Amino acid sequence: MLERLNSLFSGISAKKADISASLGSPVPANLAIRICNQLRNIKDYIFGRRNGRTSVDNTTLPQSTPSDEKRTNDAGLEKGGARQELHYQFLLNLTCFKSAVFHVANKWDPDSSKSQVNSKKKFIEDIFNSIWNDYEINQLNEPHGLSFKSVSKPTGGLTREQFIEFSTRCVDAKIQDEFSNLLAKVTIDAELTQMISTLHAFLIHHTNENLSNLTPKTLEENLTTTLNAIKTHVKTIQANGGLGDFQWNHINSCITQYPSNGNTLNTLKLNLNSRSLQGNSRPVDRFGDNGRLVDDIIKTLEQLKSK
Amino acid sequence: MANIDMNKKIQSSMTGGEEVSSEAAMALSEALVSQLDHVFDLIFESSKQVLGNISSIGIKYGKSLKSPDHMLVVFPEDVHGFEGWNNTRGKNRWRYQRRQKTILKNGVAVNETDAQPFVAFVQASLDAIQQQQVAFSKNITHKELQGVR
Repeated sequence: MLERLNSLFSGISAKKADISASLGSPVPANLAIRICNQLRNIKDYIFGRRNGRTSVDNTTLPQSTPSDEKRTNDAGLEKGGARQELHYQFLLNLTCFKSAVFHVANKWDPDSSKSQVNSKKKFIEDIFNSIWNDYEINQLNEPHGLSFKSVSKPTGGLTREQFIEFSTRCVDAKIQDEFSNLLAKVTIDAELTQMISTLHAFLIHHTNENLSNLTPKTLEENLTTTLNAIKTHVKTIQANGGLGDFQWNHINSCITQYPSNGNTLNTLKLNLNSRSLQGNSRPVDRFGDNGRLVDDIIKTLEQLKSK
Repeated sequence: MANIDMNKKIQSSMTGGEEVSSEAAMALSEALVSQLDHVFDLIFESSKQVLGNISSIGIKYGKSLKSPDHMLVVFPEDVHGFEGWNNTRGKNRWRYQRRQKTILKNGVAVNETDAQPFVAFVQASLDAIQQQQVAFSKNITHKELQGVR
């Protein structure tokens, strides 16, 4: 019976495959570790623990250790690459943190009980603390060459000063303030949330590009244009009495945390008038599938302009 | 542009008094759907943040990663689960269709009670992720999944 159902479900594919076969493309070990790190503890948060507690405490959060870094290095990163890895991982962790904050915001229920609110709050706080702890551990991890002090102008990366400035801003207490604002907020503007999400993907993509192979140059117009458009949009919403400070703070941190004079997000120029993306003599199609993201941003911003 | 209060939207859709069809009898509770959507959103988005644009992410786990017992494949609108694939009995093929809010077990829609093993299966995959005892594959296609026996 089961076989019959399976065969019905499987359609008429003539080629037999099983799950050990090479379905899709395998993900390299170092990237798999990153995904696992991003997803740690979500089961406890979403389904609760087997012992009945629903919140996550720091004791359950696996910390990055020297052996973790060793594994990463074993996966093929060179020493210089490992420095970039630290920086890159930190960016990803913060992005994950902000995604989690936004996710909580979207799922917000004004009728939540106090314990549910505290559980959500604890979840976010624990992620934040975990990121910070990881960072501190890496910072002190001298034997593996990942010391904070040693982060000085990695290839294609930030200067030490820029990195310090960037890090300080990211882990600043303002993030905690944002979180407080979030908890007080129950109305979410769906279009704005979508726009931020698209913008976020855009930022992440270009961070990837920059960390891999782009040459740093200073072109800040994309950021300025995007920032101004969003700012206008937010003001319009605020004039309608809809939003508190959270959305603006979030957008602001999304953009300002990427140093405008470093190597991230400054090699591209988003031109709203010509609907084009100019990238320091590099054509837009260099970005392949991600051109869709650019188009999404332009369309979204154009909609905002007409309002 | 008017603000949208997502909470009110959810509430209003829940208060409508409509007849329950036989299909709706298999409907899953909002709480379960929300939990599952939450998990799969996080898995897909987190993978996307690491891997860039992907169409799906496959998570394989079990006693041996060379011959995994289980696989969860997450698409943005659809999730497939292959449970106990090395077993001669008790091999289950799950499918969660997000838009329809239905869970299929071996091609047949199940109610919330019968969907609990799927929830446990998802939880087990999260445990495996936490222990880093998983292998990932990206961009698995629906066509490839049709060929899995």
